[in-house]
Amino acid sequence: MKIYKTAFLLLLIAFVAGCSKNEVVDLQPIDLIPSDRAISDMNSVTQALQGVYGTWQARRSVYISSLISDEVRLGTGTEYRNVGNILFNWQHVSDSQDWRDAETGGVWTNMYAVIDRANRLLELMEPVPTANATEASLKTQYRGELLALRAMAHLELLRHFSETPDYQPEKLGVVIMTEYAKGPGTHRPTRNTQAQVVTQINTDLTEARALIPASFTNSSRITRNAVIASQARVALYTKNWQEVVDRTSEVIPLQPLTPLSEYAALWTTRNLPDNQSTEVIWQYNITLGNLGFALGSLYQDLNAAVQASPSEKLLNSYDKINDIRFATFFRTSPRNLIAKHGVVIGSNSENFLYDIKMIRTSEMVLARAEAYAELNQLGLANADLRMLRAARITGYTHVDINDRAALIAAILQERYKELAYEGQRYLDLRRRLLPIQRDLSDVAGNTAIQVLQPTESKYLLPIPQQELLANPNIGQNPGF
Amino acid sequence: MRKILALMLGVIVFYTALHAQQTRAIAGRVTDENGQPVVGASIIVQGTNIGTTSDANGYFTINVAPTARILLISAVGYGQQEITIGTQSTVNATLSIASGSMEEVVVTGYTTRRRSQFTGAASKVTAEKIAQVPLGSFEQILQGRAPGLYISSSSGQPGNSNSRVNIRGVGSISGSNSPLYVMDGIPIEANVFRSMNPNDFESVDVLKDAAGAGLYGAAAANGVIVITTKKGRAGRLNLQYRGQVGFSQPPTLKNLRLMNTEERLQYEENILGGTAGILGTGLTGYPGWDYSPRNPRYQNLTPTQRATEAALLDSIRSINTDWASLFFRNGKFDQHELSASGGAGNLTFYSSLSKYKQEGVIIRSLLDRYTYRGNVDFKTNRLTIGLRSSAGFSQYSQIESESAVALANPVAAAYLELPYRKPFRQDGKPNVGTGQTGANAYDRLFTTTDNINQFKGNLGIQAQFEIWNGISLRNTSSVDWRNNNSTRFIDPASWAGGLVATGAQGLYNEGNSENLILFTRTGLGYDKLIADKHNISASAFVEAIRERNRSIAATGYGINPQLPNTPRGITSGNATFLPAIGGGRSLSGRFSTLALVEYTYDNKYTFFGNIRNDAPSQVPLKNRDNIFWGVGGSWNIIREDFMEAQNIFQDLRLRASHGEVANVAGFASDFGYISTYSSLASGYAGVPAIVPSSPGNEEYSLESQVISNLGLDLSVWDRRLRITTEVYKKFSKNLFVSQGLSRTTGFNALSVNAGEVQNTGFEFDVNTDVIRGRELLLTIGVNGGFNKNEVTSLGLLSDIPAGTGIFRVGYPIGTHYTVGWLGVDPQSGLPIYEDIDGNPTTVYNAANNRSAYGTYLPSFVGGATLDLTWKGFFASALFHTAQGIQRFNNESFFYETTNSNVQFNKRVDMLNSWTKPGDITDYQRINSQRQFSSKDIEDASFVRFRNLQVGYTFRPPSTKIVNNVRLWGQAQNIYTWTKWQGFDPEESNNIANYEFPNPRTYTLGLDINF
Repeated sequence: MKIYKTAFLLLLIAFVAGCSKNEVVDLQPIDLIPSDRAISDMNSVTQALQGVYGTWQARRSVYISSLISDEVRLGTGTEYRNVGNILFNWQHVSDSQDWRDAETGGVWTNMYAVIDRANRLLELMEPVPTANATEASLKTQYRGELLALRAMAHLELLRHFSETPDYQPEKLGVVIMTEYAKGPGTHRPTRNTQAQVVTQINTDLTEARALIPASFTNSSRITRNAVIASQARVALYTKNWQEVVDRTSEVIPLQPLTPLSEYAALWTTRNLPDNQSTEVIWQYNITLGNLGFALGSLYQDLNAAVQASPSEKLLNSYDKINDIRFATFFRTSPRNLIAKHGVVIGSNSENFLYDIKMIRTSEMVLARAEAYAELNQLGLANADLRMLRAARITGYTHVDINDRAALIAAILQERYKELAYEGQRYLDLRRRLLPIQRDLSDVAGNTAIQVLQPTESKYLLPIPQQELLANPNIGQNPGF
Repeated sequence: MRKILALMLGVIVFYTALHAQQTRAIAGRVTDENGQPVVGASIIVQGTNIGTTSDANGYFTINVAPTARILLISAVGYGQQEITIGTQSTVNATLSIASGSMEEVVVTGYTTRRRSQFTGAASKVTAEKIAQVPLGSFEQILQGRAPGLYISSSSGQPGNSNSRVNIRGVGSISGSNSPLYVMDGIPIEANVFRSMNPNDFESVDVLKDAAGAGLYGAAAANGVIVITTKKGRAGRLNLQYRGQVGFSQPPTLKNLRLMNTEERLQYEENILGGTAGILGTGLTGYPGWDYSPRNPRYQNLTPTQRATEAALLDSIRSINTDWASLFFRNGKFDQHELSASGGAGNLTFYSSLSKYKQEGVIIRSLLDRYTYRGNVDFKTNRLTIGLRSSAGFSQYSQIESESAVALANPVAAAYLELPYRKPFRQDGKPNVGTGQTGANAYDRLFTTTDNINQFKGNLGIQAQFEIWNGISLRNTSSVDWRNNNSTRFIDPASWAGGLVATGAQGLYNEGNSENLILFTRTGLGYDKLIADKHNISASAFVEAIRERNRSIAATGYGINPQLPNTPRGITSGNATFLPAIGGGRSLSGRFSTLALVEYTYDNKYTFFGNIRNDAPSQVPLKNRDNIFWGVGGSWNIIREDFMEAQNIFQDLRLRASHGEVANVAGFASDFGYISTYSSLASGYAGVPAIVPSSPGNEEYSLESQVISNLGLDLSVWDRRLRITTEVYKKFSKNLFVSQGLSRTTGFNALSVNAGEVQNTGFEFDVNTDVIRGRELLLTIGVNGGFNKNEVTSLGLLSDIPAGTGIFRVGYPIGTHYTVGWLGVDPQSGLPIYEDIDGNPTTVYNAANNRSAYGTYLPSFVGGATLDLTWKGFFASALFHTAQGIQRFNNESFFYETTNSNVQFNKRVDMLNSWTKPGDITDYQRINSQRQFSSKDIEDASFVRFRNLQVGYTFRPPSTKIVNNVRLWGQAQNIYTWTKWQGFDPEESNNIANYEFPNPRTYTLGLDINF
C-alpha cells in the first residue's frame, strides 16, 4: 500500500499544480499598458501628453519642401546615395518607394497619428480626477495643448494634401478627425471640404487659446503664443489678411525678433532655453533619444555623405558678406553645404542634435508684411520687411518698395531666405500659386526639372497608396 | 556506477526497491535467422507499456501480468514478431531481417504505436541517419530524409539556427510556420538546437496530419517533430567513443564571373569613362579612365606625365586581388563523444558527453559546443519513471553583418571590392580607409567580435503508475531553459571603431535573452487487450504550458582602448552620446484538456479519435474555448482472409484521417488583442512619455486548420520493395493578415483573422532492397513531396503587398511582386520594363508590379538515399532537391547597376553594356537607372549531393576490451546542380543578401565500442 500512497501523492501534486487554469491563461502584459488603465491619474495624463508631442515628426514636411522646391540640388560625389531623387525629379507617384511611410508620405501618416493620440487622450483624460486646483488648471491647460496640436496637425495635412494648391473653400481638403476611430478596421472616411477643415481648426485654436494661460511659457510645448501664431498661419493660408495682421500683431511683441547679434547663436545652440526668451515660439525638443527626428541628417549623413546641397539659386540670393544668414546657414568649403541644422565637415563630431524651430517670430513678421501689402498698406509692409532685414543684415538700409506686386514678391523672397529648410518654401509657393523654378545649375542642365507650374499634376502631392488601398473612399488628388 | 545511479534515482523517487505482485517471469532468447543473438531487441507485452530488452547474448526476462497474452518482439533492422504466451515460462523468438519501415513504431509523444496500427501520416528518421553529420544545428540534418519536410538553412555559419522548417508547405501568412518540437514528450523551444547533440537522438518522428500531429491540438497546425532520445538497455555496460576530424571548404561561385583587374580597367575606360560615360574629364578616382589616352585630359599632359601615368596604370594592372580567397578559408572541424549505457534489474541509463568544434569557411566563424545527456529509466510492473536531462553550452562566433546588404559583410565585400585594390599596406596592415570596401571588411573581422554564448538545459520526468487492470495514472513535467549571452565589441582604435555613429570610439554591447518553458501533463490512461483481438488504448489528460521570455542588453560607447572586450572599457558618455539600455519581457500560457482513444480489432481495423479543448492566453476571454478534434482509421488489408491466397503483397494497408487543429504560434504578439499604450523610450523634452501602441482587436482568435490525409502502405517482392504514399489537404483559416488601416485611425495596420490558405499535396517514400544477400545488402530509397500552396482568401482584401513580394488570392505564399524586365532598348540604351498590361515602357513605375514571377517556396522537395553494406563495409549516400524555387537576387542588382554603385565590381558581362545606338545587349547604358525588376528573380532550384559516408566495421582480433571498431569517412555538400548565380542557392527566405554559403565538409571518423 505504501506504493499506492507515494505514487498517488506524487501524481496528485503534479495534477493540482497543473490545474489552475486561470493562473496559466489569465495573463497581463508586462511591457505594455492596457489602454483601459493607462490613463488613470494626472501623472499618466502628463506622460500621454508628452507622447503626443513625441509623435510629431517635423522632419517629414521639411524633407518634402526642400526636395520638391528650389531649396536644394541633389548631392554629388560617390557618397551620394540617391536619396530624394524621385521627389527632386518630380517623378513621385502615390506608391513611390520613398513615398511610403519612411519619409515623405509620412506627413499623412504621422499627422493623423498625432491627431489620433490627441483625440484618445482628450477622451481618456476626461474622467481622470484632479486632486486640487493646481491639477484642475493643469488639466484645463492640457486640454488646450491637445486641441492646439490637433488643429496644427490638421493644418499641416490641409496645406500638403488638399486637391488644390491654394485655399479653395469648396474643394476637397482632408479628413477631419475629432474623435479616435473606435472601429479602426472599418473606418473609411471621405474627405471634408477645405472650408470645413479650416472651421474645425479655428474652433480648436479658439478654445485652446482660452484654455492655455499666458503664464505657461514652456516653448518646447504649445503655449498661448504658439496658438496665436497658428491662428495667424491659418489666416495667411486662407488669405484672411486682416486676421493675419491682428494675430501677428498680438504675438510679435510677446516674443520679439532675435536681434542680429544673437542670430547666429540661435542656430548653433543645440538646446535653446524653452522660456520664450528667443524668437522661437515653438521649438521641437531634440535629445539623444529622438535624434532620428533631427533635421540635419536630411541633408548629410554622419559619414559626411551629402544627400542634398544648397541650391545655387538660394546661395546667390544673399548678400554673402553682410547677411548673417549666409554664414549661419551654409558652408562653402570644402564645398557648398547646408549648415542650418548642423553640418559635418571632415571628422567633426556633429550629430545634428539641435532643437527644431517649428514657429518663429520671423515668420510672423513676414506674414504681417505680406498681409499689409495685400491690404495695400505698403508703408506698414515696408516697415516689417525693414525690421526683419535689419535684424539679419549688417548695415542694412531700406529702400521702400512702392509697387505692391514687387513688394509682395520681395516679401516672399525674404521668406525663401529666412525660412529656408524649415518646411515653408513649398507651402508658400503653393498658396501663392507660384511655379517651382530652379536655376539651370541646380538641375545639372536637365531642363525637364527646371520649372513646375501649379497647373501640372506633380505640383500637388498624392494621397499615399497605402491609404487608398485601405480606404477607397479617400479619393486621389488630380493627376495621380 | 550502478550505486550512484541508484542513489540518484532514490533521491528523486524516494524509494529504491519495489516488489512485483501477482506477476510471473518469462525468460527467453532472441536470435536472428542465422541463430545469432539479437542484442537490444525490444520485448513488449501487447497493449501495455511493459517491456524489456534483450542482453548482449540475446537473453531476456520479463515479468508479465496474468492477463498478458501476446509478446511483441522487435529490433531495429528486424521485423516484429508476435508470440502468444500460454502458460509457458520460456519464449524464444527468431527475427527476420529488414522488414524496413513497415513494422517500426511511431512515437507521437502521447502514444507509441506500431506502424501497422497507426492511422496517421508520419515519417521516421533513425539514429544512424542523424548521428555524426557535421552540421552544428540539428534541423538541417533532416534535409531530404522525410517526404513533405522542407528544410532550408538561412546560413552556412556553423550553428546558425534560423533554418526554415516547413511540414507540408506553409499555412500561416504572418505567423510562424515552424513545427512544434517535442522531445521525449516535452515541448521544447523551436529552432534552438545549437547547444544540443543530435548524436543523443534515437529517432525523430515527423507527424503531419490529424491523427499524429493532431494530438497537439492548438499547437499542431505546422506539424510536429518528435524527438526520442536514447535509452539504456538492460545487460552489459556499453561504452562508446565516437570521434571525427575534418575540414570545411568554401563553395565556388556558380554561374557568375566578376571582373578581374584587366576587365575592370577596360570597364572604367570604355564604359564608365568614354563618350557615354558618367565620369568627368578630371581625375575621377577610376584609374582605368583617369590614365586613359582616351581621356581628354591626356592631351594636356607632358610626355613625362604621360609616362608616369602609364607606369602607374601598369602597376595597378599588376594587382589582381582575389578578395574571396582573403575572407574564405578551410575551416577545421572535430567532434568527440563518450557515451555509456546499460542497466540491470529495474534500472537502465544512458549518458553521454560530447565536444564539437567547427570553424566556418569565413574567418572568425566558429561553433564550439559541449553537451551532456543523462537518461535514467526505472521500471517495475506498476511504476515506470523516466528521467531525461540534458545540458549544453555553445560559443557561437559570427562574421560581421551576416545576411545583410552591408559592406561590412565579408560575403558582400568579396563580391563588391575591386580586384585592383590592395588588401594590405606596405607595413602589412589592412589597407583601411574611405571606400576601401574589401580591406575595411577584412580589418573588421579582427577588430570586432560578435559572439553568442548559449546555455541550454532540459529536464523532464515521465511517471506512470498502474492502478488497476490496465488503468494507469500518468504525469509528464518538464523545464526547458535557454539563455543567450551575446557580446559585441568594436575596437575603438580600429577603422570600424571610428565609424561608430555614437562617440566614434568603438562600442561594447552585452545582452542576455532567456526563454523558459514550463510544462506539465497529468491524466489517466487505459491499455487493454481483450480476448486477444480487441486492443484498446484510451487516455485523458490535463495540460498546462507556460512560456516566458526576457531580455536585456546594454551598449556602451567611447571605449577605452586599454580595456577591450569588457564592459569596464565603457566610458560614461557625454552630451552627444550615452550608453543605451534595452530589453523586455513577455509571457504566454495555455491550458488544455484532452482525451484520445485508439482501438484495434484483430490487428486489422484501427480506429483513432481525439478531442481537446485549448485555452491560449493570447486571445480574449470569449475566444478561449477552442475545441479541436481528429479521427482516423486504418485497414490492414493484408490481414484479411481474402488476402491469404495472394502472394504479391506482403503488406497492404490503407489509412485515412481528418481533423481540426490550430496554430498557436500564429500570434504576432502575446497580447495583440489588447488595446495598449507603451513607453516612448525617448520621452519628450526629458519627460517620460507613453503612446498608444496597438488599437487592439476584440475578435482576435487562433489560426485554425482542417487537415485530411489518405495514405497507402504496401510492400511487395518479399518486402524488398516498400512503398508509402500519402495525399493530403490542409485548409488553414482565420489566418492573421495585416489589414491596412486608413491612416486617419492613427495606425497603419491591424492584425485580423481573415486569411485562408490551402495546401494540397502528394508524398511518396519508396525503398527497395536491390540486393539482399547474406553479406551484401543494397537499399535505394527515394522520397518526395509535391505541394501546391494557394492563398484562397485575404478577407476584405485581395492583395497584401509585402516588400518585393505579395500575398494575393489565387497565388501561393511567397509570390514575388515586381516590375517585368524586357531588356535594353537598342536605340536609347535605357532599360525596358513591362507596364501592367505587358507592354514595353522605359518608365519604371511600381504601379506596374506584377505577381507573375513565381514563389520562393518550393513545389517539390525530395531526397534520395543509397545504403550499401557488404560484410564489414558500408556506404551511404544522400541527395536532396528542392524544385520550383524562384528567389530575388539582390546581389545581381549591385553588380548590374549603372547609375550608382559604379565603385563596386561588376559582372564581367557588363563589358557588353550599351554604349551606342544599335547595340543589342542585356545591360543598359551607363547613368541610366536600373530598378529592381523581374531580371533579378532567378531559379534557385537545386539538386545537391548532400552526404556520402563510407566505412568499415571490424572486431579487432585477440582483444577483450574492444568490442568493435568502425572507421569511416564522409563528405557533406559534395556537389550542387543549379542555375542560381552566386555561392549557394539554398536559403530560407525570398531574397539573396550575401548570405554565408553552405560549405563542403570532409571528415574522417572513428567509433570504438568497448
